[in-house]
Order: sequence, then structure tokens, then C-alpha cells
Amino acid sequence: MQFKSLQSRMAVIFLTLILAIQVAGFLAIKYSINKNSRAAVNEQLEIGERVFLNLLKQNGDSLGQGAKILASDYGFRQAIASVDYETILSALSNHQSRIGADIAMFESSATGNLTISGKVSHLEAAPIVDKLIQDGQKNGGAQSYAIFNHQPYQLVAVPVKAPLTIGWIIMGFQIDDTLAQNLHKLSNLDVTFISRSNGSDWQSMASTLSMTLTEKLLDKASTSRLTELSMGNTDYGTRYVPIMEHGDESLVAILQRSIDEATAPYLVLQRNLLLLTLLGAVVFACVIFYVSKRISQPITELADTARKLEEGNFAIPLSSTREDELGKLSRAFGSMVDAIASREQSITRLAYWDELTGLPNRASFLRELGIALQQALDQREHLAVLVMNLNHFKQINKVLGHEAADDLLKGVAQRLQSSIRQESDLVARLGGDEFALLLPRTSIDNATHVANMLLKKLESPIRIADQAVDISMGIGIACYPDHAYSQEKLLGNAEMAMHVAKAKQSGAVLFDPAFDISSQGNLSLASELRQAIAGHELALYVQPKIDLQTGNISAVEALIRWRHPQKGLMFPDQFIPFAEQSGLISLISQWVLAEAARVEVAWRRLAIDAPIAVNLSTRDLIDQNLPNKILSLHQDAGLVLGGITLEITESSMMDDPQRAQQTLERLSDMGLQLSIDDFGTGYSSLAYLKRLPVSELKIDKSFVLKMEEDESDRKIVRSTIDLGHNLNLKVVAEGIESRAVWDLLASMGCDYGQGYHISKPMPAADFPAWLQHWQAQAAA
Amino acid sequence: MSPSLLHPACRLILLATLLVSCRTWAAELTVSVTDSAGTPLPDAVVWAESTSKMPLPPPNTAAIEQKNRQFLPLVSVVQTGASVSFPNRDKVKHHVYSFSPAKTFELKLYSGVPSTPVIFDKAGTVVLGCNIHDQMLAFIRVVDTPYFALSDSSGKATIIVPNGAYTLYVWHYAQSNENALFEKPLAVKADEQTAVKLDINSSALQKR
Repeated sequence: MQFKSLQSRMAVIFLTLILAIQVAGFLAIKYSINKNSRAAVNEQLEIGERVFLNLLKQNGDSLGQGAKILASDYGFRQAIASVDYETILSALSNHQSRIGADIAMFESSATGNLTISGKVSHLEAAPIVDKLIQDGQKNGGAQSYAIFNHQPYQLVAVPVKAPLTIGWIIMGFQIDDTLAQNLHKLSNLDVTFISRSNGSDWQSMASTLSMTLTEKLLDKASTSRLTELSMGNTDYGTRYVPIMEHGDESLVAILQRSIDEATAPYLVLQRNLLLLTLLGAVVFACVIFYVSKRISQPITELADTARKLEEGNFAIPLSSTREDELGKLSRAFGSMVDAIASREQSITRLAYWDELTGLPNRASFLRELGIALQQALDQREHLAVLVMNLNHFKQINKVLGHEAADDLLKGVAQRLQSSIRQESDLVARLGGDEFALLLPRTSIDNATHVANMLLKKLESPIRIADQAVDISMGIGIACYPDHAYSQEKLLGNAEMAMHVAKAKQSGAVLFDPAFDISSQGNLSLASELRQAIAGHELALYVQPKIDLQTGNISAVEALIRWRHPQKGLMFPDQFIPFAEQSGLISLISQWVLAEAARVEVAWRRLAIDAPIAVNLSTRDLIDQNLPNKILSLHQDAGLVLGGITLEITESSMMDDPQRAQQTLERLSDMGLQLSIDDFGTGYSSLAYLKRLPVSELKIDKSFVLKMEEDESDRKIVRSTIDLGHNLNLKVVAEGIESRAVWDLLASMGCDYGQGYHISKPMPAADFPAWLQHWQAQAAA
Repeated sequence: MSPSLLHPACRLILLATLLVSCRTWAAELTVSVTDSAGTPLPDAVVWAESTSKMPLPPPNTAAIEQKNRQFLPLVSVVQTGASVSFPNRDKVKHHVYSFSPAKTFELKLYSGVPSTPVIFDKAGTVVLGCNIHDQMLAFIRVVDTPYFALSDSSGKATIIVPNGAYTLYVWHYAQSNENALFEKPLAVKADEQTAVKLDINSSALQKR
């Protein structure tokens, strides 16, 4: 049997111990009682023997005294002297009754005549008396024992002197039940006299025992002299006192003491002790049970608590009022729980909350998204995830400092937070300048609506340290179940869309599977794109750029189209973001440059003087080898420098401004003309702009499109033109869609312009014809 | 025991007899009494009885004193018919008695000298006791002859007897058989020495 719990083990150990002690004690006491009671019985028997012998001696002495009194009686002596036997006999019997003797005799020395008073015959008495007198002559008196008529007697012989011995008085007591009873009264022993004469069997003479016990004793005592006899279920300590042993006559007194009787008082003690022992064991068991429970219960509670802790339940009251070690343990455990709880709380906060903005972090967002996804799955609802990234945050960080940037992030966070449905939507900061928004029960349309709403909300500048900072962001939208099923995928898709949005600078972009270069579809798109580059599926389109004052064509901007064999004509926003992400953009840039060079050479042969402006991507700008590539391209095509100009967007330079600047400087040194595209949407500082080796800047069409109606746009355009001119740059306006705008821009002094009012982008091959038509129109 | 204790009359008769008869018809009889081991035995009574019946001279007298709760002397020998007085020299009283067949008498509690002496008129041994003092013991040998003596400390007893035929008797109170008598016929013609050995119960010897 195994005791697993501390409580039962303690209880069992201590109970076993106490029982063992009690049992050992009990056995020791039992042994001791047994030994002691036997020793006591033995001692009683010894004392009994002495008492018995003393009693016999006293009897003998009193007999002797009585006999002596008679012997010294003058009258008695006179009767002896006068040989008056009648008188002698009467004196004997008188004296016998006076001292209570059972027998009295007188033997005359002179005549040898024996006078007997008692139930003894001459025949029996004579030899005994002669022997007694013989002993008595030597010692002046004698004591002896004798058996007359099967009855033992204690005899005393005393001489009668006148003054010489003239005869002997012999007096005797019968050894009978009276003596036995006397002895019993004195010593509390059982006394049995047994005798044997003439070789006969032992016979009981007198006894304090019952008849049956006497019989048993006779049986046993006849054969051996055991000191312990078992008679009638009782053990008797037994002592044999030989009284007489001469010739074939023996008289033995057997003294006995019941051992059981001697043990009886001890047995009561022992029983009481046993009761006490049992009572003690029960009390001890209760105490042990209580104590072990008191000890083990808090431990069990602590174990339960630890189990709850393991399950993450910290709401456990652990306030022991105990003062002992267990109380301390419990309190220590309690404070440990509190410490673990608070640590876990802070870990959770760190794990799930963004310290700076107080918004949930990426992990928290993913968790919530997971929950929301499950709910959406269960409820068959839609769900949208928006990922937002601030534009040009690095620049802001650099210009305003980290603290201001942090404040900005907080401001953005607040603005986002205040723009959503508080009860259901969730804003999180994914890291850096990237935020995410979870919109449960939201369809694609609604998500797009929300994205636009957010963009609008962020249009008003945020005040940081008494500065108003304009911000914009790219928003990627991904929806369940349209774009992904898992939270990671959904968030990843939204991020992908966000990158596209940023690349296109188009505010909010809904996820398109095409964005996902890693998707199966995009893998094939990549190979298709490669195929397209190699297999002449790409087409170079151009959009003319005119001198706003004269209306003459000054240059063209190269644009790209993909004549997809299955999907038909594809616009750049359908594959350029993907190309940028997948790295294919550099191949495309190469192709565009080469094609532009080829077209330019062809145009030169046709005497068309229209440099082709090629847009460079971020990736191109950080390619240190780009200048060489362009150089060799020119050489291969047999093109003089100046035939191709390069356009760089503000944002494309911002990723690595240093490197971009180096590249641009080398290109400029080679004699290539550089333009800044989409000016006004980025955050490039004027100081930086000033250092750039550019000769032209292009005002973003977002300002131009509405400048007719919008006063502030007009002002921006005007001041941008002035700024450009002040920096010795030519200024180009994009997005001219009416003559009025043209005129307006021309009046503002803007150098060049392009837009639908002038011409939509056209295949490069169509340009010569269009140019002829345009020139003809102008002439007209 | 010295002969001085003899009655003066007795001594006169003895002297007269000696004077009347010449040395030639009187002889000195010396008896040496010892126990069986040869140790000289005092207090033995030695007497000679003539085989021919002769008239006895008048008996002598004797006194047995009681002094310091003892009889003095221990052993006395008197001729039959002698009167013995028992003067009490102690301050306490004595009750002198005898249960002996030769003379049974008692002198009940008395002091000083009893008025009448006791006549011992029968030959034999008389054992004297005191009923008050059990240890007091004395012997009187009553003999039918005037020729008797007590052995002295060297065990010698001397009797002067006329020549003639006698029976010599020796008795001692401590003999194993207290009634035994040493008996020896003796024809006395001249001085004679006789040695007698007696069987003595030494435990019965009185130490004084």
C-alpha cells in the first residue's frame, strides 16, 4: 500500500511509531508484571516459609513452655515420686487442655512406664518417645514430628527434674487444618501438609485448598517438586518445606500462592494501561490527522493554486493569516503570483501593445484579426483589413527629429482612433510608420469608402511642437473572404496593396492578386513579364510635352504598355508595381531606355527633334551601374547624349537620397538632362532639391487638374513655378485638360505642359504622324 | 572432702578403735578412683561393708549448708541413721526436698537452721533439690557402715578398717548408670591400695 499524500504518509508514520512505542511499552510492562508477580509470589512463598517455620517454632516453644510448667510442678513431681500414675495421667490431661495440646505423655525414668493422654496407642508412641528422650537427654529437651494414626504431630519432650531427671513429659500439637488455616491467615498462602509413612503413597493431612485441588496437588507433588504448578486453570507458585524426614516417614508442607491472584491487581493496572494506550492512540491519531491536515492542506491549496497559475488564472486569493512557515510560504507564493501576474501583464502589454501610441501592436492585431476572422466565418460576414503607411516618414523623422516624429505617430494614431467605429473596429500600430485597421462586417465597397474617409481625415495637418505637418499615407485594403482566409495572409495582402498604393501614390489601393508575386498567379505573371520583355509584347508609348508659350513640341514622355496576348492592352499600374516588387522593373527600365534610344534615333533620321523622357524607378536610382548602362546604350544605338532625358519622382529619391544624389550627379555629369516628376507630393526639402543636378521640375497633375476652380491649387502652382524659376529650373505642368488651364499656366510663366488637352499617350510609331498633324494645326 | 567434717564423736570412736587395736589388726585402705580414661575422679563415695554382721556404732551427724544458692558440700556420705542439718546461709529462703526412695522429705521455705535435723535411716542415694532454685543439687549417700570416705581432688579416698573380710563399694553421682555400684570383695590384712575405674557421664559432672 502506498501513501501518496503527505498527510496520509505523516499520519501513517507517526501512528505506526506511536503504536510501536505503545506495543513495546505494553509488552515490556506485561513482561515486567509477569516477572515481578512471579518474583513477588516467590518472595511471598519465602516469607511464608519463614512464617511457617516460625509458627512451628512458636508452637514448639509454647508446647515446651507448657511442658516445662508441668515438669516443674512440685505436686506433679511428688506424684511421680510416689509412682501415682492415676494422678500423673490426670495432671497430664489437665495440663494438655490448659495449653491446648492434642497429646500429652509422661515416661518415668525410674520405671520406664509411659502414661499417655491423647488418641495415641502405646505401641505407636513408645518408639517415638524413646527416640525423643534420647535426643532430649543430650540437649536437655527435644522437638520432633511424628505421625500417629496417620496424623502428623509436632512433639516436644521436656525432662522432669527432682532435681535429677526423673522422667519426661512429651506434649504435641496435631498438624491439622487449624494450623493450615492459621498459616493461611498469617501469610495468605495456601498450605497443604502431605505425608508418607512406611513407603505408602503421599497423603494429604491438611489443606487450605479445596478437595479437588488437593487431589491434583497430590498427583503432581508425588512425582516431582516443580516450583510452579498448574492446577485447575491456575498457576501456583509452590514451595516445599520438608518438616520431617526420618526413615520411611516424611512430612512436607507445601506452600502455594496463586500466580494469577498475585497478578490480578497488575492485570487491572495492565487493563487500565491498555485502555489508556488505546485512548492515547485514538487521541494521537486525531491530533496527527488534524496536524497533518493543517500542514498538508495549505500545501494542497498551494498546489491547486500553482495548477491554476499554470492555466493562466491569476485571480487567486492567497492571504494566509497563519504565522508559521506555511503561512510564510503561502504569502511568499501569493506575492510571487502577484509578481508573475504583473510581469505577465507587462509582458502582455509589451507583446500586444505599442508603447508609443498606446495602440495594439502587430501581434495583438493578428490575434484580434484571428478572432474576428473566426467570427466572420461563423456569421458568414465580410471583413476588411486596412494597412496604412505614412508617406515620407523618414524625411519627417530626419527633418523634425525623432521626438517630433514620435509625436506625429501619436497624432496619427489619435486621428485614426477617433475616425473608426469604436465598438467594433480596431486600430493597431504594426511598427514604424505603419498602421492597420480591422473592420469587421465590412464589404470591399465599404472598406474603400472608409479608406477614402481616412485619407480625407488625414488631409488636415497635424500640429507638432507648434508646427503644422502635412501628412499623407498609402492605404492597402484586403478583404475577407475576397482576398484571403487567414489573418497572416489577409494582413500580408493588405500590406502588399499598401506598397502598391505608395508606389503609385494613389491613396488607397484594393488588393489585387496580381500584387502578390509569391502567389501562383504572380509567379506566372513574372514569367509572362519576362516573356513580354524578350518577346516584344511591350510597347513604347509617348505623350507629347509642349512649350506653353509657343505650342511647339519640346519633348515626349515615354510610357509603357503591355500588349498581353490574352488580356489585351495593359496599363503600367497593372504590372509596374508588381515589376517593382519583383525586381523586374530594372529589366523593364532597360527595355524602355533601349527602345527610347532606338525610337529617338529613328526620329532623328526623320528630323524630329523631340527628346524622350524616361521615368526611372527607385531601384534604378540605387543601381550604381546605371550611368554606364545608359552610356553604352547610347553608344549601341548611335545616339548622341541629349536625345534621352530622365525623370525621377520625388519619392523615388527619398528611399536613399544620398545614393540617389550620387547617381543623379554622375548622370548629370554625363550630360543627361534630369527632371523631377510629381513635384509637390513628396517631402523633399528645398535645400536638398537645390543640390540636385536637375534642370526641370514637373508639377504634379493633382494640383493642375483643379487649379481652375481651386484658388489654393492655383497659388501652389504659381509659387511652384516661381520656385522652379528661382532655382533656375524649367517648370513643366502635368494634367492640362483644357485650353484655359494652358493659358492660365502660360500666364503664370510655366515653361512646358502635357496632358490630354494636348494629347493622350500614343504608340511611339504614331508620333511622327501626330506631330505632323499638330504642327499643321499650329500653323493653322 | 576432708574428714574434718566428720562428727567429733565419730572421730573419737575411730581413735579409740585405733588405740584399742594395735597396728597389726587395723589396715589403711586407699582407693584411687578414676574415670574410664584414667582421670582422677573427686567426690566418689567409697565405703567398705564387713561381710560379718557386726553391730554398727552410733551414727554420725552431718550438715549441708545452702550458700550462694548452692548446697555445700555437693556430695555427703553418712551412716544409716545419721541426722543431717540444712543450715540456710543465704538471705533468700530455700525449699529443700528429696523424692529419693531412700529418704523422701521436704523442708518448706525456711531461713536459718531448721530446728530439727533430718534423720537418714535408710541406705541409698538421696538426691537433694530446692523447689525454688532448680539448679541447686546435692547428693547424700547413706551407707550401712562406719567405714566410708570421699575421694579428694586427686581421686584418692582412704578408709581405715580393721582386718577382716569386706565388700568395697564405690559410687559416683555422675556415673552413666546413676544407680550402678562398684562392688569388690576384699580381705583386708594389711594396708591395701585399690584402683577403681568408673563409667562416667561427663555431662552429669557438676562444675563448681
